[in-house]
Amino acid sequence: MKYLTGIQKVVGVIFLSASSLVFAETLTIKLPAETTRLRVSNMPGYHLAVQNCLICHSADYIEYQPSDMQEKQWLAEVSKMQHAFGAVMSDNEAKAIAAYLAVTYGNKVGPSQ
Amino acid sequence: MKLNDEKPILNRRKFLKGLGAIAAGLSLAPLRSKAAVETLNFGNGTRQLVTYPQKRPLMLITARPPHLETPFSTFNEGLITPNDAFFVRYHLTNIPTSINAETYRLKIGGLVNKALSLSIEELKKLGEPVDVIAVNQCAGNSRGFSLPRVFGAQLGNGSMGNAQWTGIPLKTVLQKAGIKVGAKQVTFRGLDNAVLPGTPNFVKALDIDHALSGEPLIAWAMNGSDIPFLNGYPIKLIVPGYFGTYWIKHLSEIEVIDHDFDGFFMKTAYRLPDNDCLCVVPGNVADKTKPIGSLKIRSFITSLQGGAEVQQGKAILLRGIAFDGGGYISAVEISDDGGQHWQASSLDKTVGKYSFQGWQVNWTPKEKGVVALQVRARNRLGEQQPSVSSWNTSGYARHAVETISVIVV
Repeated sequence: MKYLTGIQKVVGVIFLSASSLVFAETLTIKLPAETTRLRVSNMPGYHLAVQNCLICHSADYIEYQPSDMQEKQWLAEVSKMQHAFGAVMSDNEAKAIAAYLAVTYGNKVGPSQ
Repeated sequence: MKLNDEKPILNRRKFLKGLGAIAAGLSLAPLRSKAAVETLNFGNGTRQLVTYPQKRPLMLITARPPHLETPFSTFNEGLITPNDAFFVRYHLTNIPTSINAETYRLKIGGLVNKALSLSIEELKKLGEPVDVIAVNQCAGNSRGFSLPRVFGAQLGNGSMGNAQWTGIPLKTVLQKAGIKVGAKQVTFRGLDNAVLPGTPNFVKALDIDHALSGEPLIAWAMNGSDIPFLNGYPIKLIVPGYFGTYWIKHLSEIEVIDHDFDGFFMKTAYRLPDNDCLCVVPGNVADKTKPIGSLKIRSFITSLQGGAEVQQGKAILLRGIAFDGGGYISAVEISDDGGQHWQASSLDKTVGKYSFQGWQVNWTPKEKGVVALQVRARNRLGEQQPSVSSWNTSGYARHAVETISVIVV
């Protein structure tokens, strides 16, 4: 029965009259917790990414992207989130997030600390 | 001979036991006692196997919204993909987690004579139930193999499945409501929602002729059981021969409209270059695009995975699957010499034009070493797989000849 972990069938019985019963069945699932976090960085885009990206999707979406994406490609992706998917951020914030992503998840060399 | 650069010892399930991994210096990640992973044959391709409600361990693509891929070895278990192994893909983060099938209602409105709000029981009573065995494949299945790589869910080949769907033809439901003159498309949405007000709803559209063709179904059963929650319980739109993007889960609203639907997921997303190869030169943008539609012809070897060892001079039975958008698979062939010679397989009994088509062939490895095994399919319409993958920005509809590397010893 292990595949049924996290699922419940709740059968509620509503009495309509002495002779008729209606079974109202509710299927409820419990999803596993998210396990991936955004990679920590001192770059300003890190906190902006935590505040903005994770509203709509888990960090694994970013974690599994190819590691050879360039900063301008990351910026295009962040801009898509901003303009097509309604992420509320300024253009400067989008640039900061793209810079963080390109360094932290890509091959771009980061700013010296 | 130009083949995919494929590392031979990959695509195989690995169990990294925490202590062993650390002793070998392989991991600095937090100690996990038994992290099961599956490694896809492209960069950054290791995926954890996780257990979700009603599912066996599947590959985690994203946790929120849930996106789970079927490990490819599953496709060798049989032509039908079990419900607990079937891939899962949502678009928007606010998904339902509790559904009461008794109070559930499907609304049909727009350009109809009589708007309807149907319970599941009322839906089932509209006519005789219909069964269809059909492949549901994600538009982005195999995206991770795109070269150059593209953004998006980084999928291997397992974001597809083949199931028997039971339901009522969409046509029956639309006719019950009565289609008014001027109807051009029908739109569909389910219970999943966005969290930000600026995020577009996930709504898809079919042309009215397609919607009334009798082929799309509103299904309540999958392989003889309730549809698993994460696959769209309690009802799901089934569009045989079409990519999964149209197969709306938790189907809740149908609207008949008098124009081409211009929502984001039709007008902007899920589009392909409008040319024969569905492709552009990498880095370029297509002049003209069209909504993604029917499945392109594909075939896979399932009885061997990349990195498998086979014996020289000893015949083995290769088995696999092929499918397309409903044109009937007519031939599946294999090659072990880079496509210079092709050996025909025998096709299993066909269970339907929208199903996986099983095939098998005896193959005798001739020379020792790493051998690239290729498979290709044709259908009765004369469509066949291209030898080299074309490229598009979104990594959609990949369907070239597949190659796996096996080791002949």
